[in-house]
Amino acid sequence: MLVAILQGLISGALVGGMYATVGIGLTLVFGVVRIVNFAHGSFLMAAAYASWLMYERYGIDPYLSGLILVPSFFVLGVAYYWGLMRPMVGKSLLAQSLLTIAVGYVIDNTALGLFSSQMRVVAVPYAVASLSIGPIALPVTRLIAGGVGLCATTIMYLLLWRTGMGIAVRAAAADRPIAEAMGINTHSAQAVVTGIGIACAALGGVVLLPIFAASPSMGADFTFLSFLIIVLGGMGSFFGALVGGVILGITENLGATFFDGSTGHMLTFVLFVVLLVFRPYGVLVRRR
Amino acid sequence: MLLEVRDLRTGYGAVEVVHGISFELAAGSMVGLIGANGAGKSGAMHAICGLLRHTGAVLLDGQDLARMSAHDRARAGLIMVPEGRRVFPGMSVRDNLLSASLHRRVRGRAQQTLDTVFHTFPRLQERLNQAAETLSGGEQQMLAIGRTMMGQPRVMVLDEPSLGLSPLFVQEVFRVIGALRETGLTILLVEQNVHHCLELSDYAYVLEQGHIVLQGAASDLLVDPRVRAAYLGTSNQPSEAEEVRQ
Ligand SMILES: Nc1ncnc2c1ncn2[C@@H]1O[C@H](COP(=O)(O)OP(=O)(O)OP(=O)(O)O)[C@@H](O)[C@H]1O
Ligand SMILES: [Mg+2]
Repeated sequence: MLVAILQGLISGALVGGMYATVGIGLTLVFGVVRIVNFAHGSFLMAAAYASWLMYERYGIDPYLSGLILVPSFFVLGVAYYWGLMRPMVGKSLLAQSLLTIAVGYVIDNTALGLFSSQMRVVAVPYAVASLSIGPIALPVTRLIAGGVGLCATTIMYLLLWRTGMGIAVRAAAADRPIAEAMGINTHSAQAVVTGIGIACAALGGVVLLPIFAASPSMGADFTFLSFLIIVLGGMGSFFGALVGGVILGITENLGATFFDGSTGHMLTFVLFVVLLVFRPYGVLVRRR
Repeated sequence: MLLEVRDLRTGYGAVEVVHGISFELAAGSMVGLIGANGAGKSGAMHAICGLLRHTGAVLLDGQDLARMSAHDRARAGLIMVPEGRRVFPGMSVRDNLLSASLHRRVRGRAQQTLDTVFHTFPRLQERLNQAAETLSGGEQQMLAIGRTMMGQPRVMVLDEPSLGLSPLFVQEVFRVIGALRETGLTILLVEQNVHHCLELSDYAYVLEQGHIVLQGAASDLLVDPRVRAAYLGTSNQPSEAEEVRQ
């Protein structure tokens, strides 16, 4: 019993590290561009399918495909900003939301059309391998997810708080016209941030694929999950997102351990509702 | 002329608030722009810096900036200190300062410029890691001026730097503006504080309802009966006023 709890805690926390990265991707784009990207999870799903496809067709290891996919999705995110989001900057919340919801809808249904609703798994040999520490067995794929998530979060933190680009991005988020007046190309800054946000989603899709398999419903699931992390951790907070991701990973995993997979999933929804009751303005805390 | 603005028209949406004004600044000079609330001073400043759509020409050292984005104008050296300070909240004093020195022309000399700013405003150095919004109003104004200095402006546009400051800080701000001017910086100063503005400036323009209605050497405007009546609150200076000609 105790071992099961400990096991659930640790492997939940490891996946949670990756969830945090995905959540940060969403909150970063919202914080800087001020547009809620409801298609966030759909990009994650698209990357997961792309990774699966590369494995099926060419036998490329899913982690290796990430080396191609994550930069590609960065470029895709930059294009997404210039093509679709930029015209919506400063428009009504409804107009912006409808646009990103529509993009998500198109991606989700394209995936459904191309791949059907069937779950797609990558049958890599190490998917079942695990590292034993005493009685606790930690799946290798989850260890990788935790490690990659922590690294990605750290890199993004340093990028945002320790570089000139980070200053430009934060200034653009704080006061766009004045940032422009100080010589900052704010649209470029916002495009880069959108690229990073989408790359985070892609990283999540690639790294979580060997753990969960790809399915078209992943899109909506992960958009929701990202929101939950943001609400849990507080908008725009890196540390908060990390904590939120870990709490979420643990909730889901313990639920799955003691009940079943769908109960674990449901528990996250319960968590969301409880949170909204007790912290109704959670999402908006940092908004000015 | 270092800065030459010709027939500038701008406004908010469909409403035009600046109706074709022209003015110029010689290199190293300080030019004042005065006018009542709502005259269109800020509108005109935002327009020349590229934050408001406009027609007309904005020539910086002969190069027309009118088609350029705001960030390219700032990079070219036309940089403002916005009305109401507008320091970046949630960012440290240090990051606020560095925000203006990220582009290629000035990046390499950021450290030297930072030293100059600290020399001008020692208070900022003491508060380097403090969040900008926690500074006092006067300190925020210093930060806003320091931030613009970081961009190494060729022309600094100051929009009401003394607005809302205590008398002590007003003195301090004008002292700094005077000192900046001494370094050879070209300054366009928009001020409600007409007396101070005219005393410091070489030349000045009076803006009323989007039109320039009066211009002249600042020392002449200081004793002009119309200026005295409208902006300085004293109209009875007959002997001096009679000597003044346009
Ligand atoms: N964002 C805006 N939207 C619409 N109208 C505006 C806006 N800002 C200013 N105005 C209007 O434009 C006109 C000129 O305003 P502006 O701010 O340029 O005046 P100002 O001379 O700078 O005044 P002040 O001394 O009060 O700063 C005013 O009638 C004002 O009401
Ligand atoms: Mg004004």
